[in-house]
Amino acid sequence: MKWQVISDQVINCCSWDDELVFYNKLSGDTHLLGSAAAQVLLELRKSPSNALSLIEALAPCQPSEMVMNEESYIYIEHLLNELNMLGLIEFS
Amino acid sequence: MWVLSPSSFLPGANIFVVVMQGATLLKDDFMPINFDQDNELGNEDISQSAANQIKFSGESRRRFATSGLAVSGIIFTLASRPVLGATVCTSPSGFISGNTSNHGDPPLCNGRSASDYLSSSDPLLVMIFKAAFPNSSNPSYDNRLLSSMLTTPWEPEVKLSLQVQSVQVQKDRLGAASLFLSGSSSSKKGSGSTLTKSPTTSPTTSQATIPNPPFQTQVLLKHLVVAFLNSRNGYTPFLSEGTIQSIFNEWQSSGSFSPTSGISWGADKIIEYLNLTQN
Repeated sequence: MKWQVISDQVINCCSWDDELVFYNKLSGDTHLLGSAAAQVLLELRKSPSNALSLIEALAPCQPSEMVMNEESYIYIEHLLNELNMLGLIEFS
Repeated sequence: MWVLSPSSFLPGANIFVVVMQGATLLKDDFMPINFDQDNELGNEDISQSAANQIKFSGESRRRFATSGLAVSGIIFTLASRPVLGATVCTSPSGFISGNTSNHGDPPLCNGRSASDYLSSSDPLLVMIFKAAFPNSSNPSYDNRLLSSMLTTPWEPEVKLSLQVQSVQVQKDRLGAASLFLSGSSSSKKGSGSTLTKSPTTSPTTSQATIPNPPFQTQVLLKHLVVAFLNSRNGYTPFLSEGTIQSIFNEWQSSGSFSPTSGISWGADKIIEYLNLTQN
């Protein structure tokens, strides 16, 4: 099962260094996202992906502690569920 | 520095000045500012007061100071709330023309929101979607209760099905077919009859999760459901139940709705309009 950004979502956002302000035009909410969440969204914009693939794709950009292990997987899964609850991503 | 427009709030409301430039913002830096009855600022000067609250870190980059993994996750969400006077009280075609003139009494305009209905005990909420929108032909939401469509994303729905094991049909010596459904049985007809037994059968259940439609579709249907409830309850007479059903029917068949000749609304525009009819 892969995740994807919701179609027709115009990425109205501004970024400052590793933080991203994102306006969700469907819900009308505005979100301030940290580096990992912002990178997950940008990766999912390229193509649908699952948690494992995201960890691999994001590993070069993350601090050394963000390696392929169970803790990272749980964190990414939690982040994906949070982004889903906010209506930013959905299952593909 | 970002300051929210005072005209967007009711008198007596509090707003918070969020200082973002050249500072490290901590939770204690959020400073409430009160407006007087005329919606004017009090004697406090925003700039000076805000400056007194700033804790300069010496860094040029803007940064919100949080802790742990929250730094890299979802830090903050500013929920959308409608501003005073922004409710639309016209039909879809009226919304396009921007015609705000009225003849006689102004139209009743009391559209409720999804959250209003969630906290109510409106009997209409136990209707299924297809009952409200008879032309709907999508199994992923036709049988959903209206109440379950008011919160997005939707909770997954589980479909239960009952299955009965296949039956055993036998022909005894006399050529008649016997049908056994459960347990064992025997038949005797004279000395030549055959003792028959059937294996024990029992019904089984299976369950499958009904896949939800895309998130945008869920949001659209939520607003259509709310518009339907508002119309049924008489809160929005300018938007009839027939019009709401037409919006859905047209969107279902073509992916868009045409409020007037030459104009086409996609799902996002329909959502925007319906959202504005709700307080």
